Formats: sequence, structure tokens, C-alpha cells
Amino acid sequence: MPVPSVEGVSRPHVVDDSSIGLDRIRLVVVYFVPADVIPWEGWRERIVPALQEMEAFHRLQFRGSSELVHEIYTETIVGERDSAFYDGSDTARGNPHAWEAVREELNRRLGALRQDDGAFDARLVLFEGVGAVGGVDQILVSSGYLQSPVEMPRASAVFYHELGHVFGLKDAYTYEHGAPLDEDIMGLGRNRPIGQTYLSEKAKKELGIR
Amino acid sequence: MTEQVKQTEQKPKKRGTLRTKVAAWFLFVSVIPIIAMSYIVVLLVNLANERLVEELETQLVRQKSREVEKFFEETAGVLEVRVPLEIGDVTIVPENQRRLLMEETLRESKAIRSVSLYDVNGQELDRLDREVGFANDRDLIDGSQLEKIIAAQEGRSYFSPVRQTLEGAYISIAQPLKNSTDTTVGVLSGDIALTTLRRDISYGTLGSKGYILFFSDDGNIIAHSRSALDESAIRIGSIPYLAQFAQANAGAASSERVASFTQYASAWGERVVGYAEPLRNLPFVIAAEWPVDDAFRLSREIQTQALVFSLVVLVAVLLISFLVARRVTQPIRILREEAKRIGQGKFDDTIDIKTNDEIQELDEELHDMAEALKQLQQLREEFVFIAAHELRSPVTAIKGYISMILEEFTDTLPGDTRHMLEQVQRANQHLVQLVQDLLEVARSDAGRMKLEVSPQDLAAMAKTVISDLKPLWEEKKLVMTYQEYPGLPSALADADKLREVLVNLVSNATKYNRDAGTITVWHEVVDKTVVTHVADSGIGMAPEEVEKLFQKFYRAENTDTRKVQGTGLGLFIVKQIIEKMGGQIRVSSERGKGSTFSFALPIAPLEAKSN
Ligand SMILES: [Zn+2]
Repeated sequence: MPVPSVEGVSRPHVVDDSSIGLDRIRLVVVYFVPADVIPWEGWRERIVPALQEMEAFHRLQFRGSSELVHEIYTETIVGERDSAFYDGSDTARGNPHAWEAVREELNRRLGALRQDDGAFDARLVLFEGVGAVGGVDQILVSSGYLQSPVEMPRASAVFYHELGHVFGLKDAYTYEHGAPLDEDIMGLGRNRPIGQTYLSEKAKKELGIR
Repeated sequence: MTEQVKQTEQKPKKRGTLRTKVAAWFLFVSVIPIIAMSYIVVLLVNLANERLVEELETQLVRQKSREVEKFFEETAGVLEVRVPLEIGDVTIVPENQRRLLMEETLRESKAIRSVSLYDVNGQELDRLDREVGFANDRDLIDGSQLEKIIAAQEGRSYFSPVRQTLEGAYISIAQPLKNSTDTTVGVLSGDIALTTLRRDISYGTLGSKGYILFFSDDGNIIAHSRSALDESAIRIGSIPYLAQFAQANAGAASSERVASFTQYASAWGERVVGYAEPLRNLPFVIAAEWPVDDAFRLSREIQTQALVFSLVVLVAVLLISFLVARRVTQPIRILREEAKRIGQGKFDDTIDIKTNDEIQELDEELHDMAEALKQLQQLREEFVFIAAHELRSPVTAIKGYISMILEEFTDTLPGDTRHMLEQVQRANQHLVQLVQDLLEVARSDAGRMKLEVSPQDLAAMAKTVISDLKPLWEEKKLVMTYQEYPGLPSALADADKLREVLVNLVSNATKYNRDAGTITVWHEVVDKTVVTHVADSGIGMAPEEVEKLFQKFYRAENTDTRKVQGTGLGLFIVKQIIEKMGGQIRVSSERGKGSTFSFALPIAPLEAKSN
């Protein structure tokens, strides 16, 4: 039986592109409020524990080979438009329209994310509206996850699930019936408290985690 | 004498080699076995240590394997045992039995965190979580796409890879639920926390540094007992050689899974001796790793001790070998000394060697030889003494008669006859002297020389002798000088013998002098002795002649001495006398310039003098 080579230096990287390393991930956190919505002042104290949970989860799943850190943009960013503009028509699928609109506006207003000091930069937009969507360099999640007692236990799992999309991981459930393909955080585990879920061996392999 | 000098020069070299030889042999025969034995001991200890390490590692791994197997028997086994026979041939578990089954399952093993029941289609029918309780119907999932459900539906037992969560590692197990006709009617799945197992594993240690690694067939470490490791900090599950070992065993039938005992560099860079053994019916491997420096500490210590012991023994053997060599060579040295003394004519100074062996026999032979030689010498001395003694009367008679003839018939003898008689008288005179000297020598050799020492006035004695011999030195027109030494102390000597010595020396100075030469006699006081010098301006001697001067019958042979009458015994006798009186004699001479004879005699003690 051939023994797969596990020797050599391999560092974690995004799915399908080992040139984009994930040794150090910097998450820039912003709170975004559409112009017609009253901002929630409690976001800053609620977001930090969630971020810390994500970071601990990240360290464990990456077996210490990667570090997730965050920078919080403390000022509330009030959107230029009303909720109706951002939400679009299909909020049921995680609100991809809002992800797109907010990303365009933030890139314009704050400048695109830096990608020049070796760290992998991503943005977490805590959105005062509905949504949980991640990809490219941004995740957009509803502030409701940090406000609703029902959602709060799984907030950081959902956030990390979306971050997984930024890394290039696919959903591990079917979109038709929602039947999980895996029990890890990209599948069934996204609905569990983050302390009880994990990253599947398949996902680890895709991310180059040894 | 020169031969003796040669001998003494060769001695140290000879003695050294014999002793070194004996020591070297002793060392050789004793050190080689010591070295060989030390080597064998070290080898055996190493072997024993290696076997001990292997045994300890094997024992620990087996013990941990049993614990792991027991753990899974009590957890996974619980799920398996729950095949509900009472279901009969129905294809779905009745609702009233479901919850009972699940509650009982959780009760059976504390490690089971939650249990789920799925129908044949993979739809979750019920879920019981130890902390949350039964799940709401709306939270139940469609598990038909999950690997574990698919596996269990196909009738296989499923063990998930280890899932590392912040709340601890767990694995998910799924077992098919079968009815009495062996038809799969559903799937029972459980999440099993590995916390207690990890704790068990973490207690397994070897020596002070050895540890246990518990990992799954995919190479991921589930637990270990390596101390001082922050679990979140190490990249557990990424140890290449473990993954390789696991890979080699993964999927192999349980009987084909092989154990391995070998040395390698661990994930932490230490040289370890490792033993790995796959579990029999579970996708896990348990390995023990023991850093070599700790595992082989015992044998290293023994090696060091053996080395120290060998060195100590070596030094001891070295010392003993030299002592033994000395002991062996000591009698031989004594034998040589004895042989040397016999060579010098000292037959009585024998030392008995009591070695009770051939060397003692040799010593005894040597003593016998010395005795024989002594008798032979005595016989010779006796013969010389008797011969000389018997010769004395006739030659004295001849001397008397010739003197008488020459005196009484001096006018009547024809000139020729008179001349011939005078020749006979001179020859006879020489014969008389020779007989006297021989007697003297024979006496001295046989220890018959009689000496009575008393304080003697050397100055008076010397003046008397000089004046007695005046006719001799006047005949050669020599200038005789006697230097006074005011307050010269008395010397201890026998009066007659001392006179003989002085006569001998002064007459020699006269005989071997040139015509109109000088003779000077003077005294000196040196180191409690009175030294008397007799210097002449005669023919002198070469250094090699001086050396032999005091030997028996020696006469310097050259044209100058040939015309001088002598027996060759005079100086020998002088030396014997001086030495018997506790003195010393020496000569300094230069060929053609003359010789100075000096003899020293002890100063007489004051009370002796007053007597
Ligand atoms: Zn998703």
C-alpha cells in the first residue's frame, strides 16, 4: 500500500489555491446599519466573546498552524441607503444582495482590505438586518445572532461557518431539503454551539491542515 | 677490572627487560580477560536493557489497548447490544420502545453524550442528548446523506474520525439496528466523548520520560501522555511516522495488523525507542515512545560502572604485576650479586634464597661452587706458603755461605771465581727477597698477617727509614728532602709493618728514579688521617699502568723498568698492609715525570697516644 507523503512543509491555505496562505488571518469587524434603522449600541460587548470563541475554535481545528485575530472598527457605520436597498428580494438564502451592496459601499468608503503584509484579511460585517453569508473576503451576518437568546448559542458557529466560505469551503448540506452531508461546522454543526462542533477531515485536507 | 666495569654497565638494561617482560606477560594474561569480560557484560546489559524496554513498552501498550478496547466495548458495544429482538419482523421500531432504548443506552455508559435513532430511510426519529434531553421534532434531521448512516444502513459498524471540539474530542459511532430476521430496521448512532479515555491514556508513563500516543488510523492523535504539552499548542495529529504506520495498517484485517518496535526520531526531535501496536477490532493504534537517553539510562550507568571498575582493576593489576615481577626477579638479582662476589674472590658472603624452587637449587649450587673455589684457593695459598717457607732455609743458608766465602777467602779467590760468586750472591739475594715477599703474600691471603696497631710517630719512623736507606739513594746521587710537619699527630699502625711500607715506598722511589733525581717525603693531616707522601722524579707511569700497579706480580713492563730488580709483590703487600691497618693508598703519576705515592692512616685517639 503506497504511503501518502506527509513530509515537507505545508502551510494552511485557501481551498484550491495553496499560494494564498492562511497562517495568519486578520478579521476586520465593522457594524453596519442601514440609514433607516436605529443602531444597536450593545454590539461591541457582544461581538468580542463570539470572536474569542471563533479564534479558539480556529486554533484547535488548524492544530495551531494558523492564527485568527480581529480588529474592531469601533464606530458604527451608517449605510448610505435604507434597508430595502440592501435586502434585495431573497433574504431567505442568506441575503447575498446585502453582502454585495454592503461590500461595494464599504470598499468605497473605507478602502479595500489590505492584503500586503502577509496576513489574510477578511471583513466581518455585523449587519443590522437579516443575513448570514460569506465569500471572497467578507462575511455578512445579522446582528440578530448576538441579540436573540435562541440564536446566541450558535452565533459564533454560524460566523465561523461563513468564514469557512471565505476560505473556500462549500456548504455540507443540500439546498433542496437541507439534509446535512456532514456533521461538521460546514454542515449540521453550524447549528450547534461552536464548542461542540469541528472541522471535518475532508475540510482540513482541503485547507492544507496537516 | 675493566670486565667488571662492563658488567655494571649492562646490569640496569638486563634487569629492566626481565622485569618488564614479566610485568607485560602478567598484564597480558590478566587484562585481556578483564577487557573481554567488561565487553561481554556491557553487551549483555545492553541486550537485557533493550529487552526490558521492549517488554515494558509492550506491556504498557497492551494494557492501554485493553483499556481502550474495554472503553469501546462499554460504549460502542452498548449501541451494538441494543439490537431489539422483541421488535420481531417489524421494519420500524415502535415509538414506545424508542425512548426506553435510548434512555437505557445513555445509562449504560457515561461516555455516550447523545444517541440518535434513524429509520431505514435515514430520517432521524428521535435524539436524546445527555444535557439537553429529547430533541424537538423540528430539530430532527434527514441523515440519509451522512456517511455514518449510509454505512450503518449497509450493515456496517461505523467509527467516525476523532472530532476535536473545544469541549473535548469525541467520535461518532453508528450501528445498524436489526430485527430477528437480520433485516436492518434502522440505525442507532451515538456520540462518544473520549475524555475519560484520554485521561486514562495520559496516566501511562515509562521511566521518567516515556509516554503513550493514542491515535487513529488516519494518523490523528487522540490522546497522549507526553507531559508538559499544551494540547492546543501542539499540532496533534500531524506526526508523519505515526500516519505512515497507521496507513500501513488501515484497512488491514485485524489479524494482519502488525506491531513495530524500532528506534527513530520522534515528532519532538528526540531519539526514541518506540513500540506501536494496532488495536484488534478498532481503527486505532497505541504507541509507546521512550527517549533513548532515559530508556537506556540503566545500561549506560552499568557501562560507566564497568568502565570505572575495569580501570580500577587495570591500575591494580598494573601495580601487582610490577610487584610480582620484582618478586620474581629479586632472587635472580641476588644470584647475580653472589656470582659477582664469587668472581671477586669473596666466597664467604653468601645469602640463602628461600624460594623453594629451581632458583633456590641454583643458589645452593652456587654456594657449593663457592665452597669448592674457596678450598681450591686455600689449597693454593697453602702450597705457596709451604713452598716459600721450605725455600727460605736453603736460600738463607746459601746467602750465609756465599757471604762467608766472599769475606773469608776474599784474598785467595781468583778474580773470575769471585766475580761469579758475586753474581750468585746477587741472584740469591733476589731469591731471598722473593721468598720473603711470597711468604708475606701467602700470610696476607690466608689472613695470617699479624698486626698490632698502636700510636706511631710517623715523622721519626720516616726519618729513620730515610737514613737507613741512605747508601741506596746516595749511590744514585739523589737529593732527598724530608719536610717536617710541626705537631704531626700520631697515627694508628703496626710499627714493623709501617716500617716495611715506608722502606718499600722509599726504596721504590730510589730504584725507579733517574740519576741525580729527587725524592721528597712530607706529611699532611686530612680528615682525621695522617697522609704521608713519597714523591720521586723518576720514570713515572702511564694511567693504564697505574691501574694495575697494586695487583699481585704486576710490574710495569718497559725499557726503564727492565733494568730494575723487583718481585712485583711489593706494592701488593703495601696495599694489603695499609688497608688492614684501616688506611688507604693511592698513586698519582705521569710518564717521564715521576710518581707520588700517598698513604693515609687514621690519627690515633688521644688516650691511646698517652698510653
Ligand atoms: Zn453556508
